[in-house]
Amino acid sequence: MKKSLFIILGILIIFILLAIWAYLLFFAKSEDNIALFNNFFDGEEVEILPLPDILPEETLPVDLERPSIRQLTLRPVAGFNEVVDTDGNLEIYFVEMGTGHLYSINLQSGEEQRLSGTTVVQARDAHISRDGNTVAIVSYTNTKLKNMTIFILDRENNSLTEVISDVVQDFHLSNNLLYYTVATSDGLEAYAYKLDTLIREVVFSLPFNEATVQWGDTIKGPHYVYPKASYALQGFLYVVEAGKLNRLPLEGFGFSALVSKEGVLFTKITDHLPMSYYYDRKTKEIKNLNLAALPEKCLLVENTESIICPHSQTTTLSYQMPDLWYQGVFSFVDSLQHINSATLSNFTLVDILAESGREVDIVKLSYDADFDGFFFTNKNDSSLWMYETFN
Amino acid sequence: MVKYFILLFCLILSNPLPVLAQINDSGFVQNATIVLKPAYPEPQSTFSASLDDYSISGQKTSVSWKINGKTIVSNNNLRTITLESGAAGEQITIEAIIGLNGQQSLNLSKTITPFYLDIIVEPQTRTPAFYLGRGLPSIGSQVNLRAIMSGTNLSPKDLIYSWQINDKFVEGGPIRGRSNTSITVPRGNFFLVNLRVTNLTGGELIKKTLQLPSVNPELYFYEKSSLYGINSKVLTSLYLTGNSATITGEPYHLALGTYNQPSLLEWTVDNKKSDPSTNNPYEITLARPTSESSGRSQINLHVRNLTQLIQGVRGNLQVNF
Repeated sequence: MKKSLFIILGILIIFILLAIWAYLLFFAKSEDNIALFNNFFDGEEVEILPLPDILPEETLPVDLERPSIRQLTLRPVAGFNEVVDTDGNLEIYFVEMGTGHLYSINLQSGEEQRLSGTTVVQARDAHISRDGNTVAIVSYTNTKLKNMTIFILDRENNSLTEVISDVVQDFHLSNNLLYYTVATSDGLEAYAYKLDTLIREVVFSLPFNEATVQWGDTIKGPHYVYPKASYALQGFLYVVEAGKLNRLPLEGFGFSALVSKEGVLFTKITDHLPMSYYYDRKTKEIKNLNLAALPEKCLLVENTESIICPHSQTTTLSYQMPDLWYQGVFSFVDSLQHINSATLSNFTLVDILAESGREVDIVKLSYDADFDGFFFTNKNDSSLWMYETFN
Repeated sequence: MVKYFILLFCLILSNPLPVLAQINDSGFVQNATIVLKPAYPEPQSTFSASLDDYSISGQKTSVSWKINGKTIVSNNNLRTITLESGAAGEQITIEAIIGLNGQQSLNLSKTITPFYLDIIVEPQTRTPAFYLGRGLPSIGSQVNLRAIMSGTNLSPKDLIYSWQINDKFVEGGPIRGRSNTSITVPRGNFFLVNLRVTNLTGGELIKKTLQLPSVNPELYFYEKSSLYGINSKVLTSLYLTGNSATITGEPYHLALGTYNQPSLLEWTVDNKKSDPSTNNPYEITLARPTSESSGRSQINLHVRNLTQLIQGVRGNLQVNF
């Protein structure tokens, strides 16, 4: 073969390769390439394999649709309760402030449903029974005499049926009893309606009428009473059992308290600043908690040493507490604090501002083991919140 | 004769015991007592017991203490001991045995039954319906005082109560069964309340003194929604986002009489008198002059009792629109 033939063949091969390169460069389909490189299969159906089971189930990330701390309502809430219906479904019932309309929230789906459209004008405070069938609503404008109405929920007609109405100073629903107080010239009278019979009974009489009452589970009591708190006036803790008033050895200026069978969480002004203490009812020992929390914002978990307190860690409270908070001059930016009353150790359950980006001033704090969560309202806008513990 | 007198004088000086006997017989020992501090220990509280025996002549050689009949050795020869009271109504007997001149002894005894005397102070001053605390006294306002005794079976009907305000008797003097009373707050930043409780034979059971503040009334503004009512967060200024807003002025610690029937209640907007709401004179509805107007206004509320000028309050709020 001639040398020139080899050269011609070589040039032809180079041209052919250049032509293939040019074709691929200008005419090849990019979609095909993506499919080719993404799935490593060309044109075939892709089989989706399960994720490798590397993480144990409990350490899987929390479902992003349900953050542990979340706002449940945009509407202002007058009162709420955790309700377990006959089918065992867990729901939150709440009464809308201002209208008195009753709603339920399904905590799994987040779906909100109006259960009653019966309007209660100026509804400001409400209690709902555990079965969700009885609702007590207090309405008032600018007077300390408040109209309390007890309703039965008519689920078929989506309405509330009024059964009893009274003028009250304060009210509370506990188990099957609706307690309320009435101011008299001699002091304060406390009554209770049994919800099943709607029969009224006298609970106790007090010789003063500016009282904060922590109601017991039965008419007989014990109920706990102290004069409404003020930084400039002395308060004293009393227990009322079978209608008889007895003093407990706790007192102080700016005094407020939260009582359980095991002990008493109380706050009083000490050295011109509010300070919280725990009184062990068995040993009669008073322990300094080295923090200032308002007992009316806290929760004592029964039969445990746990105290749950909303608390602003970075704020030093004024000596004029709790008056400034009652007036709305001061507002807390709360985190939920767990305090062990035996060891006095404490840790933050959840920093609400960091987790939600919202400043929440917690009131009406409750815990429900069925829901494994804490519920509360924000004093700033009365919205309802939940902190799910995922235990 | 003179030397017999000198001898007798020396005998008297050298031996005080016969003198002590005379003291005993003449009742001078009653000058020696056990003094408690505080004078009326509360239940489950710490208090001290001290000897007040300076009027007794003679050499005191020892002191021993018995509490409810039991000798506390660690308290021996102490002039002051510290004690813990028990529950309300639980009696404590304190005995001090003072040794005199190494031969004789003098027994002192004191029995106390600790119980609580609480004075509940209920100022009749204005606070809004959502306020969870007690109002405070202000000059000229009425304050209800209620005495509650706990841990004793004594009936208030069988006791005599002496109430005093700044050392002046309330209702002229002691009154049987008067466990509650009403007073008018005197001038000054604070005032003293004294209560002395005696039994029907005049024996003092307990007394207590309180120092109570007399504050200046305060005024705060709150926004009111026609649907939801008053928002309990105080307004420091208001940004009018819609065309109108309703503001409520809430006087704190103002005498109820002044609040309910003020001789002066005046709203001004930029120093011009403005009419309040017809339903509630403490409310005012502010409206933007035109839908496109903007600016800033000073809202002022002034409430006063013109016959008692100190009973009054004023406040102002800036509204941006």
